[in-house]
Amino acid sequence: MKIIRWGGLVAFLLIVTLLFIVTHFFMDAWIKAGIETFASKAVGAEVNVGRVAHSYSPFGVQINGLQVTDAEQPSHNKVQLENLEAKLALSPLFMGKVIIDDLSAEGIQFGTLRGKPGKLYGDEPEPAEPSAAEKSGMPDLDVELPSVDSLMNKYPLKTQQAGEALKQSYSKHDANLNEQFKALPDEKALEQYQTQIEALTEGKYSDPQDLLAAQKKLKKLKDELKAEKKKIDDFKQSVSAATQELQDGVKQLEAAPEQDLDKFKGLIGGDLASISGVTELIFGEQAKVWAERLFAAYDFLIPFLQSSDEQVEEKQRQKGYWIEFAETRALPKFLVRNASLSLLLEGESIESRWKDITSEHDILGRATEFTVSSSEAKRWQQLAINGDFWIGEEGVDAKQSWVLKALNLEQLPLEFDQVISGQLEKALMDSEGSLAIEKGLLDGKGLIDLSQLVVDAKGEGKMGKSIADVLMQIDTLAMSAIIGGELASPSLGLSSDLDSKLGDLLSSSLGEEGQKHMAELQGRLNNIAAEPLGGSSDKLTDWQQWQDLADGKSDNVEKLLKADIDSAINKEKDKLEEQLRKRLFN
Amino acid sequence: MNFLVKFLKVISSETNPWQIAFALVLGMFVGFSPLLRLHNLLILFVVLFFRVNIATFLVSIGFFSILAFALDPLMLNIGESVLQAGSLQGVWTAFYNSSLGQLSQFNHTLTMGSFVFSLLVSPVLLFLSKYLIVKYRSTVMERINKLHIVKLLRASTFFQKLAGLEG
Repeated sequence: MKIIRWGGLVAFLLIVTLLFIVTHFFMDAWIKAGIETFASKAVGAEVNVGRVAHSYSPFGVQINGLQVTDAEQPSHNKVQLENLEAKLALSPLFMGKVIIDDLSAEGIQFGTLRGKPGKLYGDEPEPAEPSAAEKSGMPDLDVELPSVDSLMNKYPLKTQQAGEALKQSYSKHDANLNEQFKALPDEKALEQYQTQIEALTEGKYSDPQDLLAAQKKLKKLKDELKAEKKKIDDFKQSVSAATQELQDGVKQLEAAPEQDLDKFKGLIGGDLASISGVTELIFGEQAKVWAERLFAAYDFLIPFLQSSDEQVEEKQRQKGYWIEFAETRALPKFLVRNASLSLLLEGESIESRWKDITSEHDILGRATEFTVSSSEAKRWQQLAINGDFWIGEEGVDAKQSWVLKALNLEQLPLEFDQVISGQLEKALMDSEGSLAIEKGLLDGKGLIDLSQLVVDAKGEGKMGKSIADVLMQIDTLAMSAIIGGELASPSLGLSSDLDSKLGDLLSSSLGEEGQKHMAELQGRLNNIAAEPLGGSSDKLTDWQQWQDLADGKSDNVEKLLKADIDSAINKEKDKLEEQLRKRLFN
Repeated sequence: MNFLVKFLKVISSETNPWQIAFALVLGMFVGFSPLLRLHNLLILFVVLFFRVNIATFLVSIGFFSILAFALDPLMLNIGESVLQAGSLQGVWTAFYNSSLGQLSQFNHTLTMGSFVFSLLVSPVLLFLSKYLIVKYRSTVMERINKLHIVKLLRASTFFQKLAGLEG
């Protein structure tokens, strides 16, 4: 029986050829469908790929027109890129690993408008919780200017509180000090001590019994003086503490009218809460846009990598898994060794370099590092971002710093709840800061300085109009950004000197009525402060005098305590020795 | 269905029982393991180049693919044990770092498990199937042919179809 079937060899070759042809012609479509399906599940929103082409030597794929729908705003893309080229290592593919040696992407843009809204596949995103400032809103914007009496009755005055505290303080200390001062030895008592001590120290003692009695008496007097000295020292300490407390109270009281006045500047316009959040309310949306750009790596890439990882794991549990036998460190399931990404931001091209993009840093043993740099662009002078991230079992650890210099801002919409609308006509923005992520928790701060600021704003209601006026008057603004929260739901807080500027400028922009209110308030506050301030000044003078007297008494007592009978005896002894020496040697 | 009919025809025909037995064994290897593996391509070559019965091979793939659903946990355990065996680590590491090793995807637990399981079962299946085919032809087939119901069935559509294919 023949065991070889030559026709079978031809059939085998035909099958292999057919497989190759089918693969060759359909691979692009499979890759396209694969990316769209896989990435859509990963981001929870529609992902579209324009065209895919593959090459064999080196093995790689080229993708054109990739669009990732923004799940929170389906009419826009979260990210879009014109062209992506990846060179893959072939052999790891057989192990179920995607190792991209070189990846380059051009024309990456964020937040572009889609041709038609993208489909969403995950849970509908919950509407964002309004911030505390938004919750507080702008209450009662058409409120009439409140009267000075109503303001002073309605809100606790720091001046009044500080004045009461000062009064209580000096009343309490004055009584104590008075009592302590009365207990001190008077001049007459001290003179008596001095007379008795002089009598003892200058006396002639021929009888040792007399000397011993005198020494005992002197010791008794000294013990009494020491007790007096303690009273004086205690008194001096009390005066010093009371004076310090009173001086602090005076300082607080002196500052209180100004603080009350600052508060009333806001209250006269409407409500203080509405002013304190103005920076975030007006500039918050624009800041969020920039924060998304600056933190795109964390905002988009890390969640994508993590969700991709989960999908792969789920599949592997059902179908077995791969065991590593690498002589060197094992490779992760997905790794981009080097990537060069060209972003289009505000019409400017920005180059960014990435190393070791993966979601399994514990396996790779290195963090993903990235740098973004651009200088001398039309829109800015310098943009530099450096950072790294590590996705581990316990969460994401990362750090990033950024420097942005002289960014030219033009015609950016500024709006809050139909109360203030308008736009930032132009400004130069400088910003720098740093962000750290530890186990998925964000901790970052940054500075945003706007200079050459020109704002065109319109406000609704009295308060809105006042704020709009103030916004149009300022030409610089320094904002502080605080970044916190979790990686999945970061929070961005903004504060600035705008709040204090508003307070100052509102008082002058509230018209004649507001000015009158402020003048009356200032007068009343000064009156409130005057009485305790005057009283405390008198008390301080009294206490200072008492302290001077106590110092004098203390000096006298110390001198008396130095007196000694032995020194008088020794003097006599020395005198006798001298006389004896003269007689013996002359 | 055609392959099943052909299979029934084959075991009832004069085809060498070894051809059928090898087809069953090779079909088992393919049926148990994940489809896109290098060794499956080699098996396809063997089946086509050597006179292995193709109909039986295809039926065998179908049968063992279904059986694999039940045996997957066992094969996964075997694969895991073999790949993690301390004495074999040197071999696996060397193989892993070779091109052939990477192409073979041996380090996948189900791939290794199904291959080892098939390897263990194959001698039994080979000789048992050969023995059963011979036994079937010599005893069972003759007895069946003598049954009254078979005679009736011979006149049925199925039989006609079988006869038609035979012709």
